[in-house]
Amino acid sequence: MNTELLIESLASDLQAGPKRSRVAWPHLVLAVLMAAGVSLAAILLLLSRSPHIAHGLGPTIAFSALAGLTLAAAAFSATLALSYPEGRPRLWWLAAPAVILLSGLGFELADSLESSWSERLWGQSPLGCLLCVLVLSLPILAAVLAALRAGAPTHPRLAGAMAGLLAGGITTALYTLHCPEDSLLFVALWHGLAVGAVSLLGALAGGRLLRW
Amino acid sequence: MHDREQRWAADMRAAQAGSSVAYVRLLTDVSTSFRQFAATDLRRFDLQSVDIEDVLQEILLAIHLKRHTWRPDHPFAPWLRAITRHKLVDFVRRRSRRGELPIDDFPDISPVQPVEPGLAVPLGQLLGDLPRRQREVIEELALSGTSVTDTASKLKMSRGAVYVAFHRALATLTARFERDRA
Repeated sequence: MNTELLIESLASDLQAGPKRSRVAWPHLVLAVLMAAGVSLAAILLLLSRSPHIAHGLGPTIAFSALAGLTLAAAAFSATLALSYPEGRPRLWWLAAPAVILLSGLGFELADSLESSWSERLWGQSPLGCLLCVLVLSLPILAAVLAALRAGAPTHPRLAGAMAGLLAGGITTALYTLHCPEDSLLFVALWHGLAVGAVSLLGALAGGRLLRW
Repeated sequence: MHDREQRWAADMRAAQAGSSVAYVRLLTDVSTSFRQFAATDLRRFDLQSVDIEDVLQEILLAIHLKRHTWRPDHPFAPWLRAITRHKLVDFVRRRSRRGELPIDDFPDISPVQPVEPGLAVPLGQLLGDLPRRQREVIEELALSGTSVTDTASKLKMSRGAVYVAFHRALATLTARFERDRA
């Protein structure tokens, strides 16, 4: 095939498809919000309310929601940057949620008896919580990956991993509405594992789905 | 260098607004510049001279398909460099996975491979799995030998769209064929 001919043909194809730069961030925000709505509806309709919400905003709920939302914000910024071929994600922003979580953990450990730590860490149903967060993250992960396909990520696995952190961060924040456990130790370990798994899943899916 | 950035960015802006003249000028310019770069950097990427046009065409196609991801308020060169690199790395990786060797290294004594019997049937099946548009394009171009222009008018597509469909269909078929053999 002749390159000059190809160029000519591509030029004649110029009118088709999106002509102007697609405004990417509202597109991504919309995808995230709609999918988060699905996860939120599932939590509200299928799961019970957390018994701790009635007592006001306790430190566990506050810290885990704040860490989750900060994680989502940092991962959103990275995902958006990675949707452009030349994008450089600011990965060090991911340190912010870790700092929030660690300071919350510090307060809890300083404030509780050492003999209660093991009980706090294991809670009532660690695997149930892990699975719930993992499954509830999937709609958001799928929506973000779909939105990324319209972009041009040149680091598909990293973009997928960031999409997973974004999905996991939002889900852990929403999940505080249900989570019956009242310990940040529990949240950090089990929700953390779930978010890590979603991110890994995102990386694997990204490697396959985000090629172009 | 600064000059070229200005020129390319202006052309790309015009192309995004629909100017095919600016688009042809840009793509031609990018091709010239890529050929120069490839001629000096061939060895680094383990490319042979016959590959250059192939890679170039994949890059041009990628620029075309992703042209909406360039933001007019951002520099053009980094965007172009990222796409070029992405496609180049992809090309080299794909080829090394196939374990293809330069044909020049072999004396021309290998007998012509007989066509595998039964290949005609899977071919029909393979084509059947393609999206309709891609299948039609392959059937016209590769099987009936219709020209690109005639295929375009017959299928009521632009010539560019025919090229795009053809490339995608070939990529799908190649991937499938390799998977089946593996």
